[in-house]
Amino acid sequence: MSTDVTTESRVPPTGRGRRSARATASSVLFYAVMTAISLVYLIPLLWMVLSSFKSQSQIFDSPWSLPTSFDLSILGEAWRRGGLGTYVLNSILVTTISVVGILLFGSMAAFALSRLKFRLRGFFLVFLALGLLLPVQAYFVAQSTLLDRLRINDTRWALIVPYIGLGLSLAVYLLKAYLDSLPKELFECARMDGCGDVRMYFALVFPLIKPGLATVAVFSILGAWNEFLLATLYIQSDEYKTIPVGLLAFTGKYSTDYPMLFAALSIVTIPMVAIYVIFHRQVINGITEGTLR
Amino acid sequence: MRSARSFTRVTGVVAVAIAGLALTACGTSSDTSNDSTSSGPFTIRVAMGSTGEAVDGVFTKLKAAYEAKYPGRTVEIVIQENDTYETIGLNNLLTSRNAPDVYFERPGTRLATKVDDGYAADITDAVNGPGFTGRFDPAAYSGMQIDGKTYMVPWSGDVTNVFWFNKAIFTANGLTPPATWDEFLAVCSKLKAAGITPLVDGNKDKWPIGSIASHLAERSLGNDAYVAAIKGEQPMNSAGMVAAFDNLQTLADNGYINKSVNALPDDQATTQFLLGKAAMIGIGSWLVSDQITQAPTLQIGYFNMPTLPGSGDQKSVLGVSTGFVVNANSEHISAGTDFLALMSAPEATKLFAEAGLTPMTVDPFAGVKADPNTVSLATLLSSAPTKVTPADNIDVKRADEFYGAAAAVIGGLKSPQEALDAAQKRVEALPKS
Amino acid sequence: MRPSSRWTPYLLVGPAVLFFAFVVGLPLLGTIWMSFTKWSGTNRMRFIGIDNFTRAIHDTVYQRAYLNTFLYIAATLVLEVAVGFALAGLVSIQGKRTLWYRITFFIPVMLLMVVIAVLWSFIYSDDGGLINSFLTGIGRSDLRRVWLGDPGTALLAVSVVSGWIYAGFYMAIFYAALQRVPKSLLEAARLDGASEWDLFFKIKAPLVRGMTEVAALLCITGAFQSFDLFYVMTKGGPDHATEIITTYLVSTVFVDHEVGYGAALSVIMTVVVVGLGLFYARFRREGDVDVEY
Repeated sequence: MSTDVTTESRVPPTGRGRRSARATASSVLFYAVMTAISLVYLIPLLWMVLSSFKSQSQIFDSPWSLPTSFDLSILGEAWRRGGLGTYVLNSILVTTISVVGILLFGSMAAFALSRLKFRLRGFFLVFLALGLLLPVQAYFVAQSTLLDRLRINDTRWALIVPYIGLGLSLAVYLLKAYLDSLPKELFECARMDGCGDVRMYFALVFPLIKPGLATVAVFSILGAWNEFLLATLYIQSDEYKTIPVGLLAFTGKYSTDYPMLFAALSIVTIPMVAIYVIFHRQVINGITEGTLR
Repeated sequence: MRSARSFTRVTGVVAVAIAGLALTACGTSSDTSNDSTSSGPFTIRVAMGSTGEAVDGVFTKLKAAYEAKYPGRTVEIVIQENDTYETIGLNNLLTSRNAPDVYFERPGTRLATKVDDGYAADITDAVNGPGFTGRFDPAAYSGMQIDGKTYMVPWSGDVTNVFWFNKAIFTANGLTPPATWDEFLAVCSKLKAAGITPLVDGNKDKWPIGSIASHLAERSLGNDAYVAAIKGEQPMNSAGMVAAFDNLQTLADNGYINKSVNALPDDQATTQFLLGKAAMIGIGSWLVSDQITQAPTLQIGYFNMPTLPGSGDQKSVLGVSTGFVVNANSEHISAGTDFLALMSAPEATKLFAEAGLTPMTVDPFAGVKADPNTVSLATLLSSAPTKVTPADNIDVKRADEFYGAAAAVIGGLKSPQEALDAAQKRVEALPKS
Repeated sequence: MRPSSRWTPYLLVGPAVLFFAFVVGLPLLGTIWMSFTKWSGTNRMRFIGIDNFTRAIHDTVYQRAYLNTFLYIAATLVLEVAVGFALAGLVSIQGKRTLWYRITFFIPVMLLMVVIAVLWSFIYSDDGGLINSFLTGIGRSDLRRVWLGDPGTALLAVSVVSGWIYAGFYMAIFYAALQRVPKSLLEAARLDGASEWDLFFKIKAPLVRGMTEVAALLCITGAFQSFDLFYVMTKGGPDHATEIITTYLVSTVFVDHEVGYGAALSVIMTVVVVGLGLFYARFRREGDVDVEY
C-alpha cells in the first residue's frame, strides 16, 4: 500500500490539502483491514457472551445465530452455582499479597545487585536467572513435598509463597535493568551525602523505579491471577481455591450445560475486560515503560 | 577469594542433604492409626470424583443424615472433577495434610496398591458387624479382599460399556437392536445412508474407546488371554488382538463413528447423543444418571456388545464394581465405617438407585422407582457368565498404551497392526516393577 | 558502589534469595535427588541409580515432546512476534487514528488462560464450532477439519490461539519502541518521497532491532514454560501430537504415577534449558549491538 503525495508540491503533513483519490482508497483499505483484524479478536468474545443466552441445542445447531432472548439471570445463576464469590476473593487476596511481596523484595534485591559491589553478587544473579528460564514443571513435585513438610499445604500461603518465589526472577531482571540504565552519579551523590544502603533504598531507589515497578506489577498480577497448575495441586479445600481452579472444575461439572458454562466464563471475563478498557493507558504504559528502559 | 567458593560448596552439600532427607521422610506414611471415637467434636472427610449432579446430591443428603445421627460429628464431602480425581486428585489428597478419612476407589489392582502403600484400613470386623448385616452378598466383595481381610465396602456396579440407542431414531428407520457384529454394521450403514451419525463417542480421555477395545479383545481372545496381554505376560500385538482392533478400523473407515472422536470430551458426546444428534453412543450405565437430568423424556434403550467371531465368551459383560475405602491413617476409622454403613443402608440405597446408580446391595431396587434401564443393566451385570474388566483397572501403564493404540485406530491414524506394534514396543520398554 | 556496610547488601537481597531458594532452589535439588529413585508418590522410594536416565534416552514420546516444543517456539515466533510487529507497523502509520484498534488487539492478554482455552476448544470443535460451521456456511466444507483431533493440525491450532493471545502484547511493545523513532527522521524521509512501506522497512524496523531481541527472548522463554493452554485444550493429544515437554512431565507424574522418572525428565530438561541459556549468553557477548536513541 503506498501513499503518493508528490504530485502536488509539498503538502504539509497534517495539512488539509486536497487528498488524492488514491490516498482515500488506501485509507479505506487500511480501515477495512483493521476492522477485519478487530473482528478476529472480538467475535470469539462476543460469541462466548451471546451463547450464554442461547439454548443448549441452539448453541449446537446454529453457532452463528443470535439468541432469541436475553435472560440475564443466567449470569447470576452461574455465579451462585459456581461459588465464584469465594474464588474471586481468594484470587484477589493471593494475587495482591504475592505482588506486594514481589515488588518489595524484588526491588530491594535489584538495587543491591545493580549498584552495590559485594561477594556472591554474581552467584545470586545466576541463581535468579535460572528462575527465568525454567518452567515450574521442572521442580514442582519436590516443591509440593516441601510445602507439605512446612505444613502450609492447603492454605493460601501454599500459593503465595511459590508465586512470590516464581515472580522474583522477572522482577529482579527488569528492575535491575532499569536501575542499570540510570546514571550512577545519582547514587554516588547520595552516598557522598552520607546515605546508607538501606536508607538509600527507601528514600531514593523506591521512588525512582516507579515505572519499572508498574511493569513488574502488571506482569506479576497477570501471572498470579492466571496460575492454575500449582493452584490445582496445592489447594484441596474449596474455600481456598482460586478462580482458574474453580472455573475449570465448573466447566468439568457443567460441561453438558453449555449456556451455564458460557455464562460462568462470561461473568468472569466481562469485568476484567471492562477494567482493562478503563485503565488501558496505565496498563499498556506499565508494560512498555519498564521494558524499554 | 577462597571463602566465597567454599561457602557455596558447603551450602550446596547441606542443601542437597536437607532436600534428600525431607523427601525420604515422606515415603513412609505415619503409623499412628488411632481411633478416637469419643473426645470432642470432629470432622470426617469423604472424597470422590463427581458422578453427576444427581448422585452428588445424594451425598449431601447423607451428610445431613449422618450429622443428625451422630451429633458432634461433621462430614466434609470433597467432590472433585472425575478425571482429576482419578489421576492427580486422590493421590494428592492422600499425601496432603487434609487427607480424606473415606474415599472412593476401584477394587482389584488399584485397591491393592492402596493397601500396599498403607492407605487402606482393614475393616473386616466392621463389615461383619451390625452396621452391614445382610446388606451385601459375599460375592459383592470380590476384588475387595486381600489375604482374607476386607478393605473396601462395595458401592456401585457399573457396566462400563454398552451401546445405547435413541429409540425414536431406530423406529423411524425401521431398525432393531443388532445381535451380531455384522447386524450392527448393517444398522450403522443404514443410518449413515439416512444422513444420521450412527455412533458418537468422546474419546479425548481415551477410556471410552479403550473400554470398547477391552471388550472386543475379550471377545476375540477370551478373558484369560486378554488379561494376560494387558498384564504384559503375553504380547499385545497378537493376531487375535489385531483382529479385535480390525473392528474398530471398520467403524472408522466407513465413517460410522464421528470424525471428532479423539478430540471430543466424553461428556460432550453424551450431550450430543441426548440432544438426538447421533443414533447411538458407546458408554456405560451412568448414562442413565445424565439422561435423567438432561433429557428426562428421551426414550433410550441399549444392547450389549454384539457377538463376534472369536474364542471369548460372547455373552460377557464389561463391568466394574466400585467401592469406598477407609484411610488407614485416619484418626476416626470407626466414624468412617459408620458413614459407610449409612451409605449401604436401605434408605441410602433407595436414593442412589433413584439417582440412576446401580448399588451393589442386596436387591437394590426393591420399592424403588428406579429407571428400567438401570434395573435391566444391573440384572445384565449380575447374571453375566463372564465379567470383563476394562484394561485401565488391570494395569494402568500398559492400559495407557493399549488405549492409545485404540485411539489411533479409531481416528484412522494407524492400522491395527501398526498401532499395536507401537504399543507393544513401548510396553516392552517399561521397567519391570 | 561500595556498600555502606558489610551486611546491608545481604539484608537487601536476603528475602528475595530466601524465597527463591525455598521455591526453586531446594525443589530443584530435591528433584535431582528424586531422579535417581523409583517412586509413585505414595509408596516407598527406591534408589535405582541412572535407570531413569537410560529409559529417558529411548523414550520416543519424550523425544517427540522436544520436537513439538521447538516447533511451537518457531510457530509462536512467527504468530506472536512477527505478527505483533506487523500490527505495530499498521497501527503506527502516520495520520491514522488507531487507539481503539490497539486497545482491542491487546484484550486477549488480559483474559484468563482457562477461559481462552475453553472458549477456543469450542470454536475449534467439529460440531457447533464457529470455524467449521463458518466454512460450511460459505460453501467450503472441504476445508473442515477436526482441528484439535487431527494430529496434522492440532499443534498449529494451539499455536494460532497463542498468537491470538500474544500478538497484541508484542504489538504494544513494538509500538512503544516505534514511537521513539525521531519524528524528524520520518518527516524528512516522507518529504523525500518515501512511501509508508519504505518508511517501515528501511527506517523503523532497523531502529527497533534491539527490541526485537528482547521480544524474541520473551517469546522463547514463554513458549518453553507454556502449559495451561495445552493442558486444557488437548492434554498433549491426539496421540502426542501436541505433547510438549511440560505436559509430558505432568502426565508422567500424575497419570503414570512415576515421580522418579518424571524427575529425571525434568533434570534433562533443566540441563537443556540452562545449556541454551548459556549458549545465548556467550553468543550475545560477542555480537553486542545495543541500539540506543
